[in-house]
Amino acid sequence: MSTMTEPTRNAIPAQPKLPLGVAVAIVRQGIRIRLGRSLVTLLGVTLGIAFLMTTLTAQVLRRGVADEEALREVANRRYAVLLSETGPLLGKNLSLVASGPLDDGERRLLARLSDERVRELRLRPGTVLSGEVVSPRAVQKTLDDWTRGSTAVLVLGNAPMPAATELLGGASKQVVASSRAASVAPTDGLTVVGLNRPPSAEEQALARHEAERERFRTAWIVAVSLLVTVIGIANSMLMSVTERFRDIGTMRCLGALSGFVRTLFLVEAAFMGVAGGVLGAVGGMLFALGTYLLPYGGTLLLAAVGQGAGALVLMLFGSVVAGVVLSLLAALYPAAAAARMVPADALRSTV
Amino acid sequence: MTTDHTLFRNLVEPTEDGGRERVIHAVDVHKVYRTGTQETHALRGATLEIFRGEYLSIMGPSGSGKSTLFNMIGALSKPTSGKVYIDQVDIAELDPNELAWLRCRKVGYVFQTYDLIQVMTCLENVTLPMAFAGIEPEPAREKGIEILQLLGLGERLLHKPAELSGGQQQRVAIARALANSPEVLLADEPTANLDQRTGQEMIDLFHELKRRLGVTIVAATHDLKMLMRSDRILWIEDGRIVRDARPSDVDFSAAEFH
Repeated sequence: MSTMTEPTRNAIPAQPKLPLGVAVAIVRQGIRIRLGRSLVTLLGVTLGIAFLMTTLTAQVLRRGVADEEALREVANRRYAVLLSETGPLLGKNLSLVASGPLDDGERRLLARLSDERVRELRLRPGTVLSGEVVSPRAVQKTLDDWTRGSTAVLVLGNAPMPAATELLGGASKQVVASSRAASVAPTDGLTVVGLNRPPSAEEQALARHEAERERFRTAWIVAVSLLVTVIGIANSMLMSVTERFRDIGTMRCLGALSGFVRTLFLVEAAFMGVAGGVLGAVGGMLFALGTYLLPYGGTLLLAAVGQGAGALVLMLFGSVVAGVVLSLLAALYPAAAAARMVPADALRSTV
Repeated sequence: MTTDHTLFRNLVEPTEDGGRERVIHAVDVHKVYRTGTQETHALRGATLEIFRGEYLSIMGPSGSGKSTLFNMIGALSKPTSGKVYIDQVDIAELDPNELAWLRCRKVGYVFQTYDLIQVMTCLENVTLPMAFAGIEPEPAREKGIEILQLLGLGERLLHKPAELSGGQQQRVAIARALANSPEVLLADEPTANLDQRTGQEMIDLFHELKRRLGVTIVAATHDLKMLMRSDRILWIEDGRIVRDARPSDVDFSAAEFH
């Protein structure tokens, strides 16, 4: 019946809050239908997280291969010191006396020498090269001729220093290289090279400076990768939200609560964050492993991974979480803007 | 066009239709949009009544405030001043939650551009407002199928809107508007984007819905065929209702219709 006095307010119940399942179903469907577009968004998140994860993994691996790096450094230095006295060793003969365990630096040096295509590595009787250093050029000699015609004599391990005449082997001069150079009495004709020469103050300063720069570079790369990640994800989420303003308006006109609209976008962002985070974290880690596999080899890499396993697992989880959190953060603003939209704004048709 | 003051009195105190129930009652509605320092008066004291079960057409030139008026009676936005009662509830008094409830159940909106959600099937488009109303998926699905069949779209349940013709899309939009059995079906230029024949079918459909479901239909239109078959026509100009007439009292040969 028509009433002359309108009641100001009937009992209007609040619109029911929809269970999360409804939003999830709508989002899943939306992703499926707009697969191409969704993949682009996903790719944005994935690339961002992959970049982050690559940087982080590289940090762990670099720590893991740091000892190896130091060893290579030592071997290189020894080799350079030796060469500075002998000149190029290609096609030359070298003599070797060794006993006891060789240190890593010594083994590296021997390996390096056999790589350099020394003609012969003449061994003093009693010198047996252990399994790690098998030089195809090693030749067993007698006490009389093992130093004859050699460019240099190497005294490695804890082998006692041979007498000067034995070292000279009939020649007037000889280069003697030993990790224990100090124990050699200076004799005419013998040039003694200390393979264990500690790095000079200048070299140490350079190394410190290099380490400092490395730390700065690392911090910078991590910061930039985070920034790239944030911007990439924010851009993807913004795009995917703004292109659906129309649907949002329609839903609001049909009675959707603003909270539901917000939920829709946050659910979608979480989806993208989880998927992109997992893909990106795993992909980024594999990429980093790949780039380290080539120069360092599988065994060393495995050791490095084993050593940093805890950190890597933490980073994997962290990256996935970062993907989700960043996606949610990036979606927060557009989702709120979408939820705030006045339903009438959906009616852009001019009547 | 001259303002007929006797008709205005009729709007406030219906005599002829005194026994009928008002579904929508707007009293002296003003709406001002502010963009920066600019103020736009879209409505300047619009007053109107819409009765249950009637088929009302609203005419007005572009910029007359017709869209704004539609938004008000569809509970899509609140008036700056004045009262808008939808089913005797003043929408200005409602919080966003309650407005959503009202929009969801009392009003069915058919947009000029249909605004179907393209990623959903026809059936999903129709069940969406039912989901918002908290209806379980299974009964919602059944009702959705029933409504779509009523509108002759029984074969198109699982099609996407883009796979349908304009007329079919509009039917889906109507089905969606009817999903929660609203009091009022608001249609914005329902025949504007349709060819002659489909437009005619749409008018027939509205009459059918009115007859079978008893739903009140409010359409903004310039379509002569539609105007001629409505129960009542309102003219809006400069944000006010300036004329209220039955089609039988209107001279459709007048210049304003051509």
